Amino acid sequence: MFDSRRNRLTKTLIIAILLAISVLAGCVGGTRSWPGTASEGDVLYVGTMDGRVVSLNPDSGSRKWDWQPTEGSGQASSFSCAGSTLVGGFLYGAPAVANGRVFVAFHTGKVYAIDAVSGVQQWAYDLKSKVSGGVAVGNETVFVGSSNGKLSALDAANGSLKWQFSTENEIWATPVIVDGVVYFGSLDHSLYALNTVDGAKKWSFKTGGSIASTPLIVEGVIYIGSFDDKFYAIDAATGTQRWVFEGAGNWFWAQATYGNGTIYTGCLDHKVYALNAGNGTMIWSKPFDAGSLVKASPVIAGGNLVVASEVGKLFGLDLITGEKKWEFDTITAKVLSPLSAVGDTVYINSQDNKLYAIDGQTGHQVWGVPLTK
Amino acid sequence: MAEAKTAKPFNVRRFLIFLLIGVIIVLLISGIISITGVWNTILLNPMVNFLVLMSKYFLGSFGIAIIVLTIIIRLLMFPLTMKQLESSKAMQALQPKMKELQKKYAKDQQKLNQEVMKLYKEGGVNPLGCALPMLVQFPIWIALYQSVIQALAYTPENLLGLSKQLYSSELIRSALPLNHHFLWLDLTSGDIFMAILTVVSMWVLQKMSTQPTTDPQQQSMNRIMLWVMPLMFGFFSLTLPSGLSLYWVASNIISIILQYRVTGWGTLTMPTLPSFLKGGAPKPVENPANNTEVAADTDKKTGISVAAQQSSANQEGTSSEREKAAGRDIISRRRKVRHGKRRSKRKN
Repeated sequence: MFDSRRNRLTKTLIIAILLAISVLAGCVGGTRSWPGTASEGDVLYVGTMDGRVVSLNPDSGSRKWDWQPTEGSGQASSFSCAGSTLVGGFLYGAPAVANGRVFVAFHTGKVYAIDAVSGVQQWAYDLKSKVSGGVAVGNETVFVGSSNGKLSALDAANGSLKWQFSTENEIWATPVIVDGVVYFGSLDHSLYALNTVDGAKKWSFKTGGSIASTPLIVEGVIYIGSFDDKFYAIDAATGTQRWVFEGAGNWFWAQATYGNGTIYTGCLDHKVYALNAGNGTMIWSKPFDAGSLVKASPVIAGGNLVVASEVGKLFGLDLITGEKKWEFDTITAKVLSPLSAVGDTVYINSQDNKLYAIDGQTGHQVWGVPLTK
Repeated sequence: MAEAKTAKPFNVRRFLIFLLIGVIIVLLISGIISITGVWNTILLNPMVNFLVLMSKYFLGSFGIAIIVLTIIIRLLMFPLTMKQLESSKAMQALQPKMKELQKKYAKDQQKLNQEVMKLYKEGGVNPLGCALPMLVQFPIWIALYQSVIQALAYTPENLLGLSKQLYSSELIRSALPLNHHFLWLDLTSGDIFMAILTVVSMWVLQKMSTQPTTDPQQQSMNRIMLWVMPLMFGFFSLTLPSGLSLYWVASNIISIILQYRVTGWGTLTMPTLPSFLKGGAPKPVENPANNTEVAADTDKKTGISVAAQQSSANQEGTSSEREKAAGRDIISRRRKVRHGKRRSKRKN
C-alpha cells in the first residue's frame, strides 16, 4: 500500500522533473531576436519577430508588401519558447536599403536581397554561419559579419561573394561604411577598419572586452562601447584612441547617437550617458536611470533624446540636461531592437511583434500595428 | 513511560529551522524578497560566475569548467546522495516483509498501516528518506543546468541575460566570450556522439537504480521509464547545445559510480568474460542489496527479514559472491545497530 504510493509518488516526481527540464530547456535557451526598422523615402522596412520583412507606410502603418523566405529556416527548436510561429529565421538587426533593394541577414546565415518596391526576392546567399547582427551596404557591396568570425562582402547586384576577412571570434556587430572603409567590432575584443574594395586591413583597435555594438562615426571619429564597461572615441583614419569613458557599470551594446557635440549612449547598467564628443566628459550632472538595461539604440527626434529600456518603457529626455520630459509605458513587451526615427516620429519594434510610432516631442502614440502576417 | 511522553524535550534545532522557514515565507509573501531574486543570488549567480571564472583558468576551456563544476557540486551533495541511495536500499530490503504484511492484513487497512509504520521503525527506515534528499538536491541540479545554459550564452539573448548575472569583477568579465570548443565539440550545437553517450549513460544508471519488483504493473512502468528517460534526453542532446549533454554525461557517470558503491550493478546484467568468450548468454551481476538471505538468518538484532526477496537473479550468481555481498550487508547493519545503541546510551 505504502510502497505502491511511494512508487507512484516517485514516478510522478520524475515525470515532473522531466517536464520541468523540457520547459526550462526551451525557455532558458529559447531565442527571441531583435529585428530592427530601416527607412528610405516614404517607406519603412521592418523586420518581424517571426522572420519576415514588411514594407509600411510611415504615416499610417499600412502595409505595402510582406516578404518571407520561400524556404523554411528549420532553426526554431520545438522546445523554443518562440519557436512555434517562426517563419524565416531570427533577425538581429535592421534591414539595409540601397539602390532600390532591401538587404536582410537571418540568424540562419542566409542573406537576401528584396526589391524595395515590389517585395520580390532577387537573390539569396548562404554564409553557412549564424548571423547575430545587421547588414551594411556601400559601394555596391553588402557587408555582414557571422559567428565563424568572418566579415563577408557580397556583391549587392547578384549576391556573389567578393571577399572575406577573418577575426579571432564571432562577429555580432553591424558594420558601418564611411568613405570606402568598413568598420566593425568583433567578440575578439577588437574594432577593425578594412578597405571595402579588397578587404585589406587598415588598422585594428583592441579593447578590454568583446564588441557587439555598431560603431557611430562622426567627423572622422568612431564612438563605440565595449564589454569592458568602457566607451571609446577612436580616430577613424589611424585607429588611435582619442579618449575613453570609464564611468559605466556594465557592458555597452547599443549604438550611440550624436547631436550638438554630444554623444548619447545607453548602457546595460540601466543608465543613459551624455558625453562630450571632444573629450568624453559627462555633460549631464548625472546619467539618466532608465530602470532596466538599455540595449535599444537611442535616437534624437522632436528635439528630445528618446531612449527605451528593456522592459518596454520609453523616455523623452532633454538633450542638454537629461531631465525626463515624457514617459510612454503602453508597451507591455521588451524593447531590445534599435529605435529608428523619421522626422519627429520614433519607430519601435517591440518583442510582442508590434511596431509603434511615437511622437518624439510629446511622447504620444501616433499608431501601433501588429506585424503578424 | 507516561512522564517521558509528556515531558518531551524542546528541540532547539527543529525550532530554529521552522523559524527560518517562517521568516523566509513571510519575506516572500510580503514581497520584500522575490523567489527569482533569492534563486539568482543564492544559487544561479554564484554558479554562473564560478563557471565563467573556471573556464578562464582551466586552459580557457568551458568544457573542462562544466565537468569540474559538476564534480564539485556532486561532491558537495555527496552526503545527501548517499543518504538517498542508502535509504532506497533499505526500503528495497523491506519489500518482502512488506508483501507479507499486505497479504496478512489485506482486509484491515488500519492495521496494515500500523504494521507498516512499525516495520519502518524497526528497520530504522524513514519512508521519506529517499524523497527528501532528492528534493533538496533538485534545485541545485536545476541551478547547475541553468548556469550551464546561461554561461554558454549561445544566442545574443543569452549573453544579454548573462550581463545581468556576472559580478563586476574584471577577472570574470574579461573571460568572455567563452571558448565554445571542447575536444571535437562545438558546445553551442547538438552532437550525435554526445547524444549516444547521454542515452547509454542514462540507460545504465536507470537500469542500475531500478528496483526489482514482482508487480507486473510496476515492471511495465519500469520498462517504460528505462527507455523513455534516456531517449528523451538523447533527443535533447541532439537538439540542444552539447554543453548540456556534457553536463548530463558527467553527472550520469558520477551517479553510476555512486550507485555502484551502494547497490552494485543492480538489475543491470553484464556479460562475464568467460561467458562472453564462450558466446553464451550474459549472466546477471549480483546486487548486494538482494543478497541478504544470510543476513536475514544471522542478524536477528535488526529484526529485518529479507529472505523472501530473492529473485531468480540470485540463483544464478555464485555462492561466494553471495556470501561476500551478504557479509558486507551484515557488517553494515551491525555498525548501524551499534551506532544506534551508543546514541541511545548517550541520551539516557
